[in-house]
Amino acid sequence: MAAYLFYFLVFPGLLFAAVTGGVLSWFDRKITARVQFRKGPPLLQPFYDFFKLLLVKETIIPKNGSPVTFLLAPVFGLFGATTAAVFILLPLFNITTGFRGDLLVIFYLLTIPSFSWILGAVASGNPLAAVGGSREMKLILSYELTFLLVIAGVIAKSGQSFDLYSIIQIQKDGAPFIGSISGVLLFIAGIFCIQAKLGLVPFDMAEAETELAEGSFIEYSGPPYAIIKLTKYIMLLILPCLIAAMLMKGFNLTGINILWAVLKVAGIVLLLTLIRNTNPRIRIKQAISFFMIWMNLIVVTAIVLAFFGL
Amino acid sequence: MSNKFLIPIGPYHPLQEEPELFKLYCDGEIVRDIKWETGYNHRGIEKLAESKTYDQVFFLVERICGICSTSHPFAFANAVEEICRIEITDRAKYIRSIIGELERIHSHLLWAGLAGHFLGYNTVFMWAWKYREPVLDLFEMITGNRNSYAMFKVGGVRRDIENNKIPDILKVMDEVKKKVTLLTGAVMDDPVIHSRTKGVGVLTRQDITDYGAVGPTARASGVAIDIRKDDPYAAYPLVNWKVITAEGGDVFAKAEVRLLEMFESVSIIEQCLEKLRKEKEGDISIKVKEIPEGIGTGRAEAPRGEVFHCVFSDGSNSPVRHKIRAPSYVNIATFRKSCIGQSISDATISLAAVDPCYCCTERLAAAYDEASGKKIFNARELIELSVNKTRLLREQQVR
Amino acid sequence: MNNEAIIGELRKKFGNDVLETEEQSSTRLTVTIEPLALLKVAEHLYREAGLRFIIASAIHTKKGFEILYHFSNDETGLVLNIHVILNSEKPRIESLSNMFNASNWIEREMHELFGIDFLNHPNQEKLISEGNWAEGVYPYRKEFKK
Repeated sequence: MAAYLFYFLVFPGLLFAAVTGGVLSWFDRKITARVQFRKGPPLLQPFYDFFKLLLVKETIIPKNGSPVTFLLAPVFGLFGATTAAVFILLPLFNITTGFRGDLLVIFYLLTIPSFSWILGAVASGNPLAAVGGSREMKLILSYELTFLLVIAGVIAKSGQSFDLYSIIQIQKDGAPFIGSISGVLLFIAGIFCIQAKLGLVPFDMAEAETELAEGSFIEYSGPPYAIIKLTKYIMLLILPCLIAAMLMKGFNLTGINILWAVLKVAGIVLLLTLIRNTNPRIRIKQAISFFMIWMNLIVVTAIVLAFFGL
Repeated sequence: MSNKFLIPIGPYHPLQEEPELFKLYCDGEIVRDIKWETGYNHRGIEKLAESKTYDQVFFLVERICGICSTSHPFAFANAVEEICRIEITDRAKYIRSIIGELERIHSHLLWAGLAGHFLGYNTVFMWAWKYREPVLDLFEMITGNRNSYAMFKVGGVRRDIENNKIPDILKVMDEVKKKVTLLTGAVMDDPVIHSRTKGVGVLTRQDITDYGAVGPTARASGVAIDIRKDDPYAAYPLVNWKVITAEGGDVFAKAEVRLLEMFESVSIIEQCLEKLRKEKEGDISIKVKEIPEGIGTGRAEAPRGEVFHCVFSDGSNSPVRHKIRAPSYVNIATFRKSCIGQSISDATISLAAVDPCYCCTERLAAAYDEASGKKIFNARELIELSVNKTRLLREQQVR
Repeated sequence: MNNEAIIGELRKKFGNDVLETEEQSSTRLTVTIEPLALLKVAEHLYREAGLRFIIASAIHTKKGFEILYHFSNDETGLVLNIHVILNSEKPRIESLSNMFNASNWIEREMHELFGIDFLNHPNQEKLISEGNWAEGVYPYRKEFKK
């Protein structure tokens, strides 16, 4: 029991994921700043942000909302993200427990933060948050199918194994999946899916600072918002890790290989950052057709190719 | 389903940092009706002008808008000079035009950046504003201020552009041209920007004449209104340039007009500077003894369109009535045509596309040391710092 | 078309409604008309002559409330001021906003600042100080010694 608590709270769960995610968030902001001729924040800035919100800022509860749902929603989100972090990172660090890293469980856990944010947005009773929430819902409906198909593609490539352990093992024995045409297609679709999951430009219409003034999160302040920030840090770590595990043969944590592991994750985050800095925000309708038609087409092609062993 | 709900944009605009309130009545994502509330920033400048002398009014109207802060003095000067029936010297005309066009460049760059920010494209935002910076430095070098230049007066301008500065200005203009070319390429060739801006917020020719819209907003719909050509003033009839128009009437067309106009502005400045060399230095203003009774209507093409000033004089040293119409007054009104029936995402960029005029920017009064809480600069010292920086900049640029 | 031709045409079309004309310069022209004829004149200028409505300026003088409707001809650079004088007891004039939207806001503003009534205006609410200014107090009115 103590071991499980340790897994959940310290390593590779809450603490580890939050700290690493914070550092990745700094990396994202620093790269963005450099692209935009700015200096960028210091390394500890994400943690300053978090602790300022958690310890200094007051919590304001909207008058017309439902306070319990409003306050609990971020906690549910954090819970979902942390559980997903444990289930993704355990196989990745090759720690053996009873759980084998079932991909479908991970898929469902990863949707929890988005859904809880929608709940929180609707519970706040703010019209801007309601529009943000409805946009987030439409976005989920469009990208989740693609994401599921990406997972199906990985499963098809690995010869019908559903757990991350085996998928990593198969790649370690053979070649990483990304080395094939179908792997590349899955990687492209996967990157766009996690871009949407993280709510980064061009898929940030739920927050849309300049249209809805932070949309779903407009009413959050103080500790609840700190929890949302923490959840975002964790998501920024585990989603690239999931891609690395599914398509890039995971990590090998011995000697110099640790550097490669770090580079893989940093590389994916760099890609996300560059996409978000070279595109304007698109309309929600455009996002739906982008995923529903083009991305699904790519993934289905990839799955067909995978059956032919390409 | 007539369950409309209200989406407020304002009273403090999330992006434009300006007090104004758009009420969007929405049905789902679709804007069904729109209302505008204003007056948060009404400062009664028209009334204030009645209690100032003509010389003071220049400084007053300069503060109407922090961005196009030369277009109002420009129009006011035209109006007063019309009452007096005087013709200013050629050198003053060129200097006025140079200031006006420099302002157009910086204002259009500012708009391009904000439009990018509106679309969530922060890289364009930062790049455009970085490229705007040399233009502001140039202003500081020529006029001593980055903004609110205090260059105009009845009968001419207050400061000369010395001939030895001209090569430096030309060099900066070359640089600006290169940067603007880069930016134009990046914006005009981006397929995602096309998909976000084409066919959005369309204003037809009929809408333009109905609402009396002016400036780039009108020119993007193919209505070639440009006061610089239609009712020539200052040095504009003396140089070669053309009016940029586009046909679409959508947000993209407005962006296109503004970006291409910057090249025309650069060309006007270059020609003016060349001609300035041939004029006698220091011959920048004529003396005006008194302002007779009469009505003067002055117009100038600001970056956002036609600025109109109507001055009623009774022969005393201050205007009896001073009517000011900024271009945004008619341009913003077109939102009823461009926004209703669109989604919220499109409505916000359509609102921004007319480049609504900003009110005055606030200035810092004191800076505090973080640790001790002691005041480290007071207002006077900050002004001194700023003056020293200007001096440094001038020395660097005029070797 | 030069100024004289314009004046000639206006006089021919509107006869006695044109009270006075004044030429400030080759591109500035002020024509004083009978207030009741405003709608006719504006209709002619907007629809037939194709002029653009710029703005209207009101001023409170000893003669009463004077309004200058500024029209612009963008081909010749002409600014044509249509000048009307309203009586200061009960200033009222026909609204132009049913013809073009450009005059909508400025008429609301003049109503608010000078207390001039615009007949048949689609929506004569306050523009600037909605909800925070006393009724019946008009800041731009002046007081004259009798």
